[in-house]
Amino acid sequence: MKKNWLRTLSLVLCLALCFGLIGCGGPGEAEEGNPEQIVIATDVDLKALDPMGNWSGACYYIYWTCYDRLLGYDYETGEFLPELATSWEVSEDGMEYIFHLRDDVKWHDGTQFTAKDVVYTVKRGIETQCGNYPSVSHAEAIDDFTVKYIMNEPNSLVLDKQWIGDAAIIQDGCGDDVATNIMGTGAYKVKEWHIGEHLIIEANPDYWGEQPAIKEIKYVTMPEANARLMAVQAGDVHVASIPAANIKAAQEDENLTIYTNQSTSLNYLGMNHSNEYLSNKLVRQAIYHAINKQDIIDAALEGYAVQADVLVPPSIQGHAKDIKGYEYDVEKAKALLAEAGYADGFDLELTYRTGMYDVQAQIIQAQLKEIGINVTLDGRESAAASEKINAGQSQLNLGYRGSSNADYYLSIMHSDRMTDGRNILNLSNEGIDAALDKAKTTIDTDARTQEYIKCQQIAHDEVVVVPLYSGTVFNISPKNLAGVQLLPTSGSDHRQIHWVE
Amino acid sequence: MLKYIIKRLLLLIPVILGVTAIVFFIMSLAPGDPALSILGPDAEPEAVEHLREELGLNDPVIVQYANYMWDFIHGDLGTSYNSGRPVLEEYLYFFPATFKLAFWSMFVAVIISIPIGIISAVKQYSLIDNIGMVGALAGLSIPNFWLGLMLIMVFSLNLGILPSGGATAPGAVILPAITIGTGLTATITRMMRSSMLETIRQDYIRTARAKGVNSKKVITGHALRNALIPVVTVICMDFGYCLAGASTTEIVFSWPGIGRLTVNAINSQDRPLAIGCLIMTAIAICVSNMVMDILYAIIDPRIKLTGGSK
Repeated sequence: MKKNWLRTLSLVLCLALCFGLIGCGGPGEAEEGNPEQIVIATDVDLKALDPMGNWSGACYYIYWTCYDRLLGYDYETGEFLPELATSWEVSEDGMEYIFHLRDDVKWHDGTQFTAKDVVYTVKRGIETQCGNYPSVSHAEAIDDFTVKYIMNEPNSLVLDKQWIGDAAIIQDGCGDDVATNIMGTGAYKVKEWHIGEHLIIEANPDYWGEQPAIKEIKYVTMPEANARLMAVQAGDVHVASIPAANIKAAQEDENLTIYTNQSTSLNYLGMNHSNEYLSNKLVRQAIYHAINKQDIIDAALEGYAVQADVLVPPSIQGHAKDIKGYEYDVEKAKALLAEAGYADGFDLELTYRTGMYDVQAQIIQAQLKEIGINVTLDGRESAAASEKINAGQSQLNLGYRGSSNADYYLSIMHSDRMTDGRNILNLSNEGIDAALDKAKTTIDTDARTQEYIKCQQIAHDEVVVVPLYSGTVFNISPKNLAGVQLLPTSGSDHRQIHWVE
Repeated sequence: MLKYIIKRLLLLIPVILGVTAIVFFIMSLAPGDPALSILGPDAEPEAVEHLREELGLNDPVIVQYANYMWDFIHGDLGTSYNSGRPVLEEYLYFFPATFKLAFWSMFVAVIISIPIGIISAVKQYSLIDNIGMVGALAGLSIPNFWLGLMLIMVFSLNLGILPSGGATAPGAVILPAITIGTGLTATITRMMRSSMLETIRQDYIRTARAKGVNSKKVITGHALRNALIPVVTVICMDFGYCLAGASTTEIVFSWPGIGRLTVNAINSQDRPLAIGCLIMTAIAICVSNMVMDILYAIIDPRIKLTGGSK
């Protein structure tokens, strides 16, 4: 058993050298001079991709590229565009929507797309309560390429919901397999999927629309933001999202393009209207005046956010642009609090999601302390925070809304919420309920917008919540790549990406 | 030996039962509703209730546990809430990457730490010893997330010779293995040094030297084997922990391993997956401890493994 120690050591070192040399074979995921494939980093694992059940941002990359929807949307004009539906009609009473479908669309497996697929999509959407078919009773195929939605009651949101990423049309009979077996009609189809590692999609040669410029997109999972930034700088990855904290480092690199877009998420400070103190409008107004939104934006988001005056962000139809929020004024806040009979202040608890609102909560705590309100921080893990807030048990809470339609933002103020298990505000206001109910059944866009504005005006007058800010989303790519479309709604669309000189 | 292995494997049963009970009840006590977590904070209440019923979350915890154990003894660890795939399949899918990373991390640690530990002991208080010990202290103190990012910056960004993340690119394992290996190297070096120091002060070493045995032979032939026993303990235990996945390093290097899988499962309240991962990890650690005992017997023939107690 006596061995030459040095010989053993040399063997080990030789092995180590070989092991080291394996690594010198080449660069990372993306090879230079290979414009056929680009690599896009996602922050979460793409494990299950059911458009009716998986709604994290990165899932939308696949919904946009591999699926089509009945309608498209022009973000500039706010008009609906034809996609799988070439035209559509709404009956006068708003009880029927008829969509005429393209007849030249093939699924990725080569079979013909027909109205049956749409009927199945609507049926599964209603069963899974995905929210894309509000008030829709069912859909019927009139012929192979015409489909009709039949409503339980008129609902103006139906068309709004037919162009969003997760309104993807799925294949008839696909069932729950849809989550792991991506079968769409979109511009790309799945080539290779290693869950937790990467998902490669390739251009669909039978696509009915224009062929995408990039032949292959490889999505790799990179949960760490610094690592994503460095991977793009190193050329291993071509497109990645980064948080505001990394934006300065990205700006210093002249080889990078930074894409920014105002997110449609609207962050607010919610108040429980059944609370002893918060039921008093003067107290709510005092709180509003005591909060310096810009301080929150600077400290928590490096300044990359826009102060919000109302609950509906500017990019959403129905935004009340004429309403200005109450200004930051500590003295006025103190005076209002004294007028309400609480000159000596009182105690409140602020419930929020940890990891998301820690800095915001601490700043609000400090700002309210200025006017004598002692805030206890009640930070909880996301699901636990939602549970408490939705049960109407929080006093102050931090939350956000993000959608493509005004109704979604404003619906937190509807009194329905007091009984349906999402009771964020404990609020019952007849004016707000009436405006929201009327908007829902008003098909005419302008009339509907007026109802939304009316609702926001009441919310402003009554100081229902404190709208705080809309954040900014960032993507980065090398300078020679263009066409990353950051959408105001969830995710970004990669179908237009192309190389530039 | 075989009898011993069988006995150890049988001992796994109470360990697994204990782990399942603890993990299951802790996960059930954790605040938050998995159904709400899956569907998002603004899900329709009917959809949440529908899902709760479907997942059996409305049953009392004890009934849920009984159902879980019934499935467990039939080899079914449940289905992941998030991906809809069987938990065992999901675990085994990610395990090879974790094993690969654990193996190479340990490889890095062993080839560096054992020689340094020996030299440090033999030449105690020399320059090499001092450098080795300061290095070990630094290795223990540097957090993995920082070291990982620095390695990416140097080798991927500046030198461009190694990939910054993923597991499929050639050489992708090198940077994460060095990151994890650095901490392991520090522990093993210190253990090797102190164990060797203790051994070379034994009487039989002095005797061997007095008999005029060559100094190298004293170290490699007489002292090393005996000094290795505590080192093997540390190596095997660390290897077991590595098999639980190194979540921070896996996240920094986008390595598709068990650590990231477990942390994601816990964060997203994917109860079956989290419980499954923790149970499988407990099994992996038990098995690596068993391997450690077997290695003892190989290294030191004085240690006898027996099936029953006497």
